[in-house]
Formats: sequence, structure tokens, C-alpha cells
Amino acid sequence: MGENPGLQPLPLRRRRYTFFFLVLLFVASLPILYLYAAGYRFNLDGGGSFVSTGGIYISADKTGAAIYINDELVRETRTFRRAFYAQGIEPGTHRVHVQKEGHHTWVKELPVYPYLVTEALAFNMPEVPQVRTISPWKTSAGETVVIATSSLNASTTNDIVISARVLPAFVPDTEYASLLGLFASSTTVTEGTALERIATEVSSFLDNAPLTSATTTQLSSGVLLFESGEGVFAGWVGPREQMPYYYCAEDFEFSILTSVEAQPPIYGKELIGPVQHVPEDVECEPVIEIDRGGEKVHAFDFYPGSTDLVLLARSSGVYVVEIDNRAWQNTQPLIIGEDLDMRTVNGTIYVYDGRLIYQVLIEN
Amino acid sequence: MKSPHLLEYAQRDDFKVGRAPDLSGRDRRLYRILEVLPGLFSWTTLIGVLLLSIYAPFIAAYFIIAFSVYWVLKTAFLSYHLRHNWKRLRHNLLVDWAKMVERFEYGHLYQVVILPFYKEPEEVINATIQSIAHARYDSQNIIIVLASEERAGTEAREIAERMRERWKDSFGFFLLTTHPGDIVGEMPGKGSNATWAAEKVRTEVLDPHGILYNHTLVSIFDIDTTIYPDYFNCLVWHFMTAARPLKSSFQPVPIFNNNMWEASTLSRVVAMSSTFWEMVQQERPERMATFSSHSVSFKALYEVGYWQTNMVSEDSRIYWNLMIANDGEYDVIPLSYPVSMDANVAPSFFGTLKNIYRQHRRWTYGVENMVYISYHFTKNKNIALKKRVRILLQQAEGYWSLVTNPIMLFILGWAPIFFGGRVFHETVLSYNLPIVVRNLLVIAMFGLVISSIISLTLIPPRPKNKSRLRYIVMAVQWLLVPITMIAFSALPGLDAQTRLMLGKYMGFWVTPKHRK
Repeated sequence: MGENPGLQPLPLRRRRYTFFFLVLLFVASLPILYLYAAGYRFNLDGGGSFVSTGGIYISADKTGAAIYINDELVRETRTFRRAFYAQGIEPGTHRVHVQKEGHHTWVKELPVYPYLVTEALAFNMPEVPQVRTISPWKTSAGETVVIATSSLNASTTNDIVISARVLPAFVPDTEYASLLGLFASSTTVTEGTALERIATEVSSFLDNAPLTSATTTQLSSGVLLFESGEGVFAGWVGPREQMPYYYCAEDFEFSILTSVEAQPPIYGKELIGPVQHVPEDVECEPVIEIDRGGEKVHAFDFYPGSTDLVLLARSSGVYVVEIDNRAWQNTQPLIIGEDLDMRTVNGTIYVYDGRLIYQVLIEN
Repeated sequence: MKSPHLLEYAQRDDFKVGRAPDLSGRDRRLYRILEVLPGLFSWTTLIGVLLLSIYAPFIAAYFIIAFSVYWVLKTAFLSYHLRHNWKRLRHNLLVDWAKMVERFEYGHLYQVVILPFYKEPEEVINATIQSIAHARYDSQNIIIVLASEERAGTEAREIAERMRERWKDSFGFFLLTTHPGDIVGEMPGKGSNATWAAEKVRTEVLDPHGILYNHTLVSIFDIDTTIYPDYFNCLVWHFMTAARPLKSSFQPVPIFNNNMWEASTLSRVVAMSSTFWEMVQQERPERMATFSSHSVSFKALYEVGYWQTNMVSEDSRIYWNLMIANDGEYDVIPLSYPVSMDANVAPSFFGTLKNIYRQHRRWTYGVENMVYISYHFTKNKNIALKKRVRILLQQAEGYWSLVTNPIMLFILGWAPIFFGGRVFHETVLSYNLPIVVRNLLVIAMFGLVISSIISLTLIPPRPKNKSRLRYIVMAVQWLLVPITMIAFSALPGLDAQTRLMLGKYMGFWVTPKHRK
């Protein structure tokens, strides 16, 4: 063994070289990461230049659903992965659809702008809804008694006894009696209430007739749902900065897939700074008419747990309609049936066909 | 009264200032301002990032990306040092140091080992002395000083007596000292005890036996320190080959592995992280200060009046005392040779967590040393300006990053997403920020793989009653690093800096030693 232990400490010069190499790496990598994070992508086709891109963020309400962008499968949703963020998307219009077996498909064409992410919330209602039937009568064993068969296209989850007539052994179902009270009345906006004032204010944006006095008006998390004339409207009455993305959205050309760079709404292309802000002085009506398919609406409410979806009880059935009217509003039947009435109580949807009440079971 | 044996600068009244109230007039105001600065900078950084996230989220996002890149590269840089020191440590454990020192005439060198203790269990003290007794070194040249505290009561005194009876014949000298608990101006703690013991060994052993101070090396060990057989030979080799041996301190690598098989997962990660930090420092001695158990010549100690008795982190402060009193001409020499110490173990899991937090708060209260350095750098102009600036920047960066980096990386890094508002939230940058930061952190986690491998080589042999599956746990335990960095590094550090900033000075807290 020599005069020293053999393995020497790291030489200062080598440490310095390593340090300067890492500093160089820092300086070199930072602009690349900045450009990447801001949405720039290197485009070899365009002569090797950086192009600005946008993104799409789709969240689905169901697990096991498939998310497609421009007909390409990008994600199958799971319990903790119900959303998908697609980046590096060329500015233009892109078609997104979310489908799940046994459910209605959600389809939308969405505009993508440079530097911005277009968000959308997809929903898929079951083709055959599950319901719990509630009738005026039940057996002593607690089974629901249906005097006549139901015409609804739904799958009932509770035990049902079908009877041609009311037998002495049947007992009245108190649940039915109490729920029936719901359908006997509606929450009417009366003169002078705070809700009416808000509704009137929002309604004043419209050219339609004044607020209908018998309107059932709903307010939830800054979104006001109200009827004006024949139509049902959703109005944003919350703080401007919290307004959902689809209110005041710019019109864009849809149904034609295009790669032409779309202009961002309202503002320019600055990398840093407000790019999609809707300032106070910009005239904008945060009111969206809900698509009712030309039918008369008996009742409406928010879909339970959501302020993006609306339940409409129309002449042909109860439908779920999204407020987001970019391109079009997706409408999916919840229950098909003529002149059904509908109420929601504590997050539960009840539908009444004039004889029976159905609790619609919502799956996740 | 001036003490002639002290170096000129060490004779200043303010040389051993512990805190601002020890001074008066302008010096007091200056010292107080310096005490405020570390906490102020740390809080300003954290609050600044938060405010930036609210009012300028785009700038905050770019800052966070830059910071994450910096973190990845810093991890790579530190891992590079760690890996090299690991190789050197293993190599040095295989070196026959007894043979290495044969070429020197070192029979005149005495090893004084000061073992300050408070109420630690007898088996801990016994294991420490036993390891010294088994060292490959002439035991007649070893002087053990078992330094007890009067305030620890009769039980501690009885333990000390039993230790003397058991081990007195194994060493040249075995001295028991009892540090009085009522000396005015002292803070109860390791520094005051060690200083009392050093003076006792001088007056009761060195002077009566004519042992020269420059022939005496002092090793001050925490009471749970067990040494490896060649520690003193390794120390002598480095002492004899040092450029200025009497102007140098010698720092081994403290490996907190004595009780590694009994320690909880969190405790192991925290303990090994501390070891790794010291290993990294061993490869860049220009940034080193002494830490925990270390060695130094008695002459150097005597020239500055031993350890400070009025502050908490005396193990590092003694280096700064020596460096400043010697006008900057003082070194720390890394030994890259281990000593083993205890990881934090308490009877209960939450007791362990509490002890780890308190121990690290005490360690990170070492920020008081930065105040001390800054103050004396304004006074001692004999230290080269370049050196003063370099040291201050290194120290400031160290204490600032200790507190702010983990919090910024793992918590505030997401602040723009939550507080950036709608305008920011709709941008690609907002969506990409967590992706970019997450990916960078994953890359940084590769540094943990190196840590995991190295840690497995540093643990003692598996006791028969411990399952082999523990090795797997010990390998994957490093995933807890983000948590331990915040809970046992950043938060106690912030706590310590805030206390210093507010003038709520800390006292010495003795880490309880417990072996199952």
C-alpha cells in the first residue's frame, strides 16, 4: 500500500466541470421546457419551426367509457381516471365523442385555440334506465303492487306484484302518498322574492316575453335555471371570474374539421397575460337557452350533483340536456314516456306518469 | 480579564456571543437584525411564491418549472458526490490504517475522548466505551473523559462510577467530570459540559503528566457514538498528513445505524438522509463545518477557550470559532471514515416522530451560526473578503434551501393551479405545469434509487429475529423522502428560523436515547 489510502476525494476541477456542465444543461433546457409547457411544439412539416398548440380536457361521468378525439381512442375511463387531457392539439375544430356500451353517446365538436385548453364535460345516460317503481299499493310483505303494466321503457329494480285490481290485502304505500304531494305543487316564484328579481334581471337580456309567473326557478352554484315564454334558460349569476367556460363562448365554425388556426376569443396570442378573460366591460349575455326539441316543458331542474346538466320533462319524456351550447347541446333521454312529470328531491329524481311514481336510479 | 493563551481575536468580549442580548449598543442591533434575516428571507420566499401564484400565476408557473429543473440538477450533482464518497467510505473501511501510520512517529500523540452525557441508558454508554476499548490503538495513549451533568442527578453519577470501575484499566486515563448546573451565563447543554470536561482534563491529566497540548487530539463524541476499530489510526494518518494539522478539525461520517433494525421506517429515512448529507459534504470540504462527533487538536481548542457554553449548536460553532479566531486559516478535513450513532427511537411511534422533529429543530437551529459568522465577518477584516463572501453565500443558500425548497417543490409548486384564477386555469401552461413538474420530480427520484442502494450497504447485519422482508422495506422506504423532507427538514427548519427571528431563543434539547 502506498503513502495514501488510494481513493482520493473528488478533485475540485472535476467538481467544477460537473457544476458548469449542469449549469449549461439548466440554461439549455429551460427555454425548451418553457416552450413545451406553454403549448409550443416543434413542427418538422412546417419547415422545422415552433407552432403554438392548444389542448382539450374531457371529463366523463362514467367509468368504463371510451373517449375519442377525432375518432381516435385516447382514454378508457376508470374510477380515478375519468378525465383526459390531450395536449399538442392543432388549433381548429375537433370532434370528440364519449361512448359506453348500453349508454347514449356524447358527441361534440369543440374549438381549440393556441395556448388554451378547451374543457368539456361528457355524460352518458343508460339506454335502458333503472327505476324503482312506487305505486299507491303494496303487499303486506312490502312488495310494490302495480294494478296495470307500465308502458315505460325502463328496468325496475324492486319486486313488483301485478294485479288486475286492488285486493283487500293490499295496504297503501305512504311513500307514494308523500311523493304525490311533490307533483301536486311547484315552487313558484312569487313577486318580490330574491330569486325572482335575479330571474327577471337575467330574463331582461332576452327579447322574449317577460318571466312567466308560474315558472319553477332553480338556483344552484351561481347558475339560474328559469323559464321565459316557452323556453327554459340557464343564466350565470355568480361571480364573473368563476363563470363556466361555455358561457360567452365565441361562435366558431363547426361540423367541418379544419386545421386552420382559429383565433382565440376576445384576446390575442400573448404567451403571458389574459388570453380568454371576459372583462367586466365586455358585453356578454351569460344566458343559454336549453334545447327542448320544440316540445313543451312540464318541469325542469338541475341534474342531481351538476350545474352543467339540466333535466327537462318534455312531452315525449324526461331528458338530460347539457347547458354547454358550443356546437350543439347534447340531449339524451332519461326516460321516454308521454307527458311525464318530474321532480328532484335531495339528489333523487322522481318521475310521475299519472299513475305510478318512478325513482330513477343514477349510476356512476 | 484577558487570557493570554487565547488567540488575539478570541480575546474579544464578543467572540463567544450567543445571541443579540449578549451584546449592547450598535453591535446588539446589528446582531438582532442578522438574527431576523434568515427567517425573513425564508418567509418572504414562501409567501412570495404564494402571492405570485395569485397575482402573477404565469410568472409563478415559469418560476416553478425553473425551480424544478434546478432541483433535478441539484439532485444529480449531490448524488454524484454521494456516490463517490460512498466508494471512498467503503474503500477506507478496508484500508489497514494501522499499517498506513507506521511510517509516522506518532507514539507521542494522545487521544482524549470526551463523552458528554445526561441521562442516557447505561447500555448506550457502555457500548460506546467498549468500541473505544476495542480500537486498534495503544490504549495507554487514550484518555476517556466521561462528562456527566450535576443536574442529571445521582443516577447518572452512579452510572458514570460503574463505567469507570468497569473500564478504567482499559485506558491510560479514565476521568469522570461533573458539570455544575449553576454556572452563571451558561446554557445547559453539550457545549457547557464539554468545555467543563476539557478544562478538567487539562488541569487534571495533561498538565500533571506533562502531555503537550499539540500532542493531544480531542475527539468529542455524542454518547451513542460507537467507533470502528481503525478510527484513531485513520485520524492520526489525516492529522500527520494535513497541511496544518493544528489548524484543522477532522470530521468522520456519522452513520445513524446503531439501532437501524429497531428504528421505524420514517426514522431510518431521516437518519440515513442526515448521513448522506454529511457524505456529500465530505466531498466538498470547502463547504464543511464540523457536525456532531468530530476530532480536533487540544491546542486549537485551548486557543479559543473550548466550546461555547451559551448556545445550542456547539458542534458546528466550534469550527466557526476556530476559523474566525484563526483569521480564516482553518480547515475541516473529511475523514471519509464512519462512526456509528443511534437513529431516533422512542418507545412509541409518535414519540419517535416528536423526537425526530425536535432533534432536527435543534440541528437546524444551527442557523444561529450563520448569524455569528455574518457578525464576525463584519469585524474580522483579516479574513479575505472573497472567502467571507463565499462562505456567507454558501451558508445563506444552505439554510434558505433547507427550509424553502421542499415546501416550494412539493406544496407551493401546485399553488398557481389552485390560486391562479380562471384566466390562468384555461391555459395550456396551467394544465402542463403539474405534468412538467411531476415528470421532473420523477427524474429527481432516480437519485433516491442511488440512496436506496447505498443505504442497504450501510446497515448493520440483520438480527436473527428480523425478517428478510425488512430489506425490501428498507429499499422502498425512500419513497417517503418528500414527506420527511417537509416534516423533518423544512418545517423544523422554519420553526427554528422563526424562533430566532422573533427572539424566542431555543435551549438545548437532549435527544433521548432508547434501545429496544
